[in-house]
Amino acid sequence: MNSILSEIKLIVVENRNITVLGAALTLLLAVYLIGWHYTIITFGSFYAVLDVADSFIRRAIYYLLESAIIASIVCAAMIAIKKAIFKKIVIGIVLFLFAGSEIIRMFDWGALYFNGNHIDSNFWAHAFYTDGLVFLYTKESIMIYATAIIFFVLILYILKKMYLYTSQGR
Amino acid sequence: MKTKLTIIVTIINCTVALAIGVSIYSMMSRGGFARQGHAGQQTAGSDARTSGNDSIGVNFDKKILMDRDKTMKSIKSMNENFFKMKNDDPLIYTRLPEREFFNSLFSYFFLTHILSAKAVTLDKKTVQGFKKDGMLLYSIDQKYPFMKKSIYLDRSRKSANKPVVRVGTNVIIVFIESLSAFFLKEEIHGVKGLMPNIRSMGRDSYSFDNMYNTSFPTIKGLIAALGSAIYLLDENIGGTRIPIPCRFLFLSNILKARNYATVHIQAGSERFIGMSDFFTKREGYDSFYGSESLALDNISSLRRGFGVDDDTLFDFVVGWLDKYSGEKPLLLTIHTINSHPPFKVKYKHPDARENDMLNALYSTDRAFGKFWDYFKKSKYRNNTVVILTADHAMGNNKEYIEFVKNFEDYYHPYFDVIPCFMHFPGGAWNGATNKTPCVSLDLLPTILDMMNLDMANPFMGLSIFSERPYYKRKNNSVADFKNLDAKKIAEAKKLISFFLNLYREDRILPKDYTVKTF
Repeated sequence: MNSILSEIKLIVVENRNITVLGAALTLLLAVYLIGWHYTIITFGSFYAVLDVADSFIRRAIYYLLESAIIASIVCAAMIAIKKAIFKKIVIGIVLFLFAGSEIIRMFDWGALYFNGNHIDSNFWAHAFYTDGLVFLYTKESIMIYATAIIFFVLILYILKKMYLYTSQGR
Repeated sequence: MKTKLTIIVTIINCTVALAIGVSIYSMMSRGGFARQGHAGQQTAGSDARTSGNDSIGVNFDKKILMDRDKTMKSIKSMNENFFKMKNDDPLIYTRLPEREFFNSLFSYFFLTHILSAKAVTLDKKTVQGFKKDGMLLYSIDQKYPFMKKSIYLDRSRKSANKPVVRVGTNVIIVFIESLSAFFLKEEIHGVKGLMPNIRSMGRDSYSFDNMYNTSFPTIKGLIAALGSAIYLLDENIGGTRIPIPCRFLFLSNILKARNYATVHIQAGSERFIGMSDFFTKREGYDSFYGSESLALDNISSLRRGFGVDDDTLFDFVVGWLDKYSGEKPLLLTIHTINSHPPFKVKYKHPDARENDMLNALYSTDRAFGKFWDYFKKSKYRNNTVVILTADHAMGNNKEYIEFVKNFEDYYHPYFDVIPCFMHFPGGAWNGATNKTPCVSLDLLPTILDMMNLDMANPFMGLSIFSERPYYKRKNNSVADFKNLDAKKIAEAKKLISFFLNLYREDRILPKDYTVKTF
């Protein structure tokens, strides 16, 4: 038992960076996913999070699992893959999916905030007219863009660090 | 080594997730306990105060009742809690945004085509159901099921007890964006002077006090009022993005056949859903002015929100009316925009507490006031009917919820009582009210009834004077989507397919239809 624990300790100490980066990725994804709901409830509705506590906790558990799984898959891929090009492809896929999720969530947050509904057929009905552009430069929209950019940069930073660490064996 | 590292990293990630989960749970629990404790203290205090009182469980506390502030606070808190329980679905905020996005995208672009693919003939039972609601189907033609011979289902019901409008009288219809009748009830919501000009116009008019809007959003509201038709191509399955593929029989088509000049002026864009083309090429309008034309006079009026502001709109209307030669009688329809989110605010009401919806309504009212003051002194005042109504009720936006949450009985987003005022030439019928439960679909048949015009038509509404009292007002939807079992779902799909196919294949009005009034 002691030998297993010391081996684990040794592995963690030797690979401190990747473990810290994996944990940071989990944390960041969880904050991003759960924070979306927290902020729309707090700023966009007249409810408090406690009003929807049960549903919120269920959704948070779902996101925590999702964050841990995604972060673990990314870490595993970075550890297992040797060729730099494949690592870059993995990073590209993760960033692409994350950016896609951010774009959807930016619009959906705005739709909920301004109209009180998720993106629905009414949204699509207005989506392709220049009239709707007025929603894109409100104070709230600017805040959403800034937040989305910050999260994207942080994810990029973590993935880049993971890439450097696993590529150079540092 | 790599496998072990991967497993360890996974375990650490799960631990982090677990730690976050525990933190969230403990924060929520603490918040919950704090809330319970607060509520408990209140209950305990209340119990203590009411001990010895055996008034069958109704905990009136004289001390609280004597303290006006506490009483009001307590009532407000009760109202808010009740409002939350009854009127909205807070779980909307915990749904997965990505799922909502892709579901809506799929249904918008694909489902509408599936549902409207083939023509549907309704069975006798459904047709009878429509008839009970005052809608006659398949009475002339199988291909154009709504076509019927007369605006009356039974001509013997034609009422004589109504205002009469001579053909040749000018008709001006003002559609105020999202104007629920509640906003005019100052005595209830308490914001004095919110819409004084529209209220004043209402007092000087014949008023329909119990009219619901049939449709939402704007284009469907206008089609309901001006064409007496339900249009639901974007009813969760499709969209107003699609240029309207069919033709309705509008008031403009009918009056144009009676030598009227027909003009529409709106603060919104001319291009939106191809509105300008729809009005001018299909619905008999001679001219259509939207924000693109109106902004030429005042480019800064495009700031914030859709289109130009209502001040610019009514300035344009007044200028246009002033210049109009009057060679032909006039049908002028006007549609405002300020009260469409994200509200255009030109003037702030002192009691609006930064609620932009209220400020926008106030701004619209002031703009309308300029038109109304002009009209009352103008050459039009003795030969024009002015009708003021709404395209639809206010939607469920944040500002509306914020304002109406203390008036739980009046919270009816999207579909609600809307004002309908008719000011007759010279002020005839001023102050009269009509309380018949009716819908905005009834506006066009009612106008025609007053003008003594009848023709073959596809209208879905009835004259409020002559026939609406015989038919119960139906709810807003063609199909009831609540408590559906498999059979009901099949029926609802069939009914929606029936309607969608009519629109898609342009089967509301026969292609060779010409207006022949009798």
